[in-house]
Amino acid sequence: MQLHEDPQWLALVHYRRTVFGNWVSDADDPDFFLAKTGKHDPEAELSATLRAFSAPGGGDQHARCRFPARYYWLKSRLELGRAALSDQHCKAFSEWAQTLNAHSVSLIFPASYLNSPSSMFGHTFLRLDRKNQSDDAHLLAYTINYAADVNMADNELFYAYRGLFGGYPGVISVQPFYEKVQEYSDFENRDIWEYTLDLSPGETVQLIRHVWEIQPVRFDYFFIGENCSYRVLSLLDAVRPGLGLREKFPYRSIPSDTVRAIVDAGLVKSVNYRASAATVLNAHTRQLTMGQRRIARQLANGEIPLDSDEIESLAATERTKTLEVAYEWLRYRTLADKLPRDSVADLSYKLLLARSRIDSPSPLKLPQRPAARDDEGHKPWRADLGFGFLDHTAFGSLRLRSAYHDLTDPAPGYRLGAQIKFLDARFRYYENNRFQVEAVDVIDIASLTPRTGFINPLSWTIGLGARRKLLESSRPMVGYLDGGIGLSYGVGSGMIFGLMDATLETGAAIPSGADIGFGPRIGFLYRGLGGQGLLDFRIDCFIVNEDYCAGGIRLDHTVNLGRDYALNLRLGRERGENSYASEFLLSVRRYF
Amino acid sequence: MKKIMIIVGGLLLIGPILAHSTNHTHGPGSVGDGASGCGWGALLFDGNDGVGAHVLAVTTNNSFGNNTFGLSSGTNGCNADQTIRYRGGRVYIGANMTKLAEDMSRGSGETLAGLSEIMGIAVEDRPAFYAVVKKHFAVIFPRESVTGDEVMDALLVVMKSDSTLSKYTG
Repeated sequence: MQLHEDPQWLALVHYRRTVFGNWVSDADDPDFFLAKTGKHDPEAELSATLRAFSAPGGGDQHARCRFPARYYWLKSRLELGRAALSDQHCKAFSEWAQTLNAHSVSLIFPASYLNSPSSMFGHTFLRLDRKNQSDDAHLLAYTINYAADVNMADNELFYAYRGLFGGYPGVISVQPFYEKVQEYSDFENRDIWEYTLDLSPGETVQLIRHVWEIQPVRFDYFFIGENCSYRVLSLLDAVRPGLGLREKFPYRSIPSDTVRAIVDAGLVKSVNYRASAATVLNAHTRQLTMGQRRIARQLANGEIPLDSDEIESLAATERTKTLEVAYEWLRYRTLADKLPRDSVADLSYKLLLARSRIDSPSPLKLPQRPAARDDEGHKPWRADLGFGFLDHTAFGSLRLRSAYHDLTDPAPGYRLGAQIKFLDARFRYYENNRFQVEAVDVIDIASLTPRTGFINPLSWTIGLGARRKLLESSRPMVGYLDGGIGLSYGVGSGMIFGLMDATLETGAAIPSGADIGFGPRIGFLYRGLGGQGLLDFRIDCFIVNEDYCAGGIRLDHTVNLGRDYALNLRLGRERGENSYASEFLLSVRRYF
Repeated sequence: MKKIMIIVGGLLLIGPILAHSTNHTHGPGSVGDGASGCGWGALLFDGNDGVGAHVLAVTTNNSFGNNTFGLSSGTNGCNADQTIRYRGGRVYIGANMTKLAEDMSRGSGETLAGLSEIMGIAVEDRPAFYAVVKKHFAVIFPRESVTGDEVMDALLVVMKSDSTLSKYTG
């Protein structure tokens, strides 16, 4: 094999094959290449690199100092004892590496956070751990974070467009871990998984060298393909030969998928869980009695003074708990509701002052680590194969989904009430030899978060696609846009929700071309019977053409068979315009 | 009536979209950007002047600027003639005021543990350190609008008068 075809060389310059079989580097910055044709030509880039390394001169601007990872790798491959490639002092780089002082690496995975669409799938970045780093020092470690350098002035549409089709530069930033924890744990309420990686100190140093190389370089950022996780994979590929992680995700890299790949590659030594501020608040609230919760709420609302009898009469431990939860809740609200500083600072301070005067350690226990990690849930692709009846006509059913999780998919590793679906298509073949597209959901999101008295989010849904609509004598295809807003409440290990739904339908079958309907939707999401399920009742009253109400009730239950298989039963009764239809569908689901 | 229902229906449809876009109009805010330099750190109980509760979060993620070496280079610390160790501490305190106040009031917590690490306090002296900062919370945080520098100065005074911890203030 020629040296320029070595996977390590290709990884260091971020080459990949195009669909036509040519090489192209992901780097979108001419300064990253030493050859003019470097972006497309690994061989030319290698020759130019070798020439530049042996060029006379020195200092931080020299290629050996600008590209220390390439230099280190070439030196080890070419067994260069030759003077032309002797080590030389790179002041800027060695100061930088010394400051980072990295000995090992952890992969950090802030889990998805549904209420923010851009973080739906989670995020990944690296933390540089020091030698014998104590648990007390985690927050001080540096992180290497790759992210889109988003223009804050861009509106939502620009943001979505540029994210999907390019236009945002991706940049690497180095920040202390405490800033990232504030960002994710405290402000965004996302739980964080920390995976200690099995990189040797030598590999860690090579990682640092390589980050130095690409830090000033622009890579275009794409939300789906070339995103944070993709870059993390390419960094790991560049430091350990033979991983080939990046090539497993040629089109898209969802963080939980890439974490799975990293776990499967045997790179993970141990895993730590860090609960978000909201998770902690929920867990702490559950350790209070109803009476204490009420007092905590009143305290945080400023409805009762800190020296009131209700608080003074509590035993020291109970008072401690109540004050701590009151503070945590006020803090949560400050961030979630964007309360102005003036309205909270004084009360926050007084709560802490009162807490500090009680001579008792915190009696509140931290939340338990979830039984399944976010990378231990089912995979995002799904294929369903099944059979059923629509009224009395039998059909075979095939359903394919690109991503990610729906309300009735196996729950481990996902949040109950959180649904994101992309490109979910259903096809049917009826016994009378009719082949039909049943529905194509382009996007379908549900964010159902139970209200607790302390944390009181709205639940919402949105969906866009095409589906069959039951009319008087036919089921034509219509395009739809659905949305709903409402409330959810926890019931046992499940939840009930009530939404006000609206729907816009359009198609040739609708007399005026489009119709709007709205009405209530009530659902019960539960766990049990070998899996989880959803009982769903909805009514839509259409108002543009003829006034009529459609709707239906359905039960959707899934029995989980291991991580990547499930059995789904769907029973429904639907009312259309002056007509009814019953549906039965039994299918096997495979996740991959 | 029909018209009103259409409008209501339309609003319900776009409601979730609007709910989002409002989250996205805020900049990254004052926390974490480390840009304000000297005198920085009166952040205790910061309300939200644009602090990004799910600002444009994050597979895409705004990068919060290039706040690369706040911690160790101490560029955000104010008093250049402090020893290096305390310059690091000052930056850390400034960036973690709210969380640190919470931990100190309880005498435990990860942010407080991080401070003891930065200040080089030996593992066996940490329980004493945690107890002292809790006991003197009102001295270290005398009011809600205290700055990071004031916290550090008060902390050093408190430690000086403690037999176990005074050795760390020299």
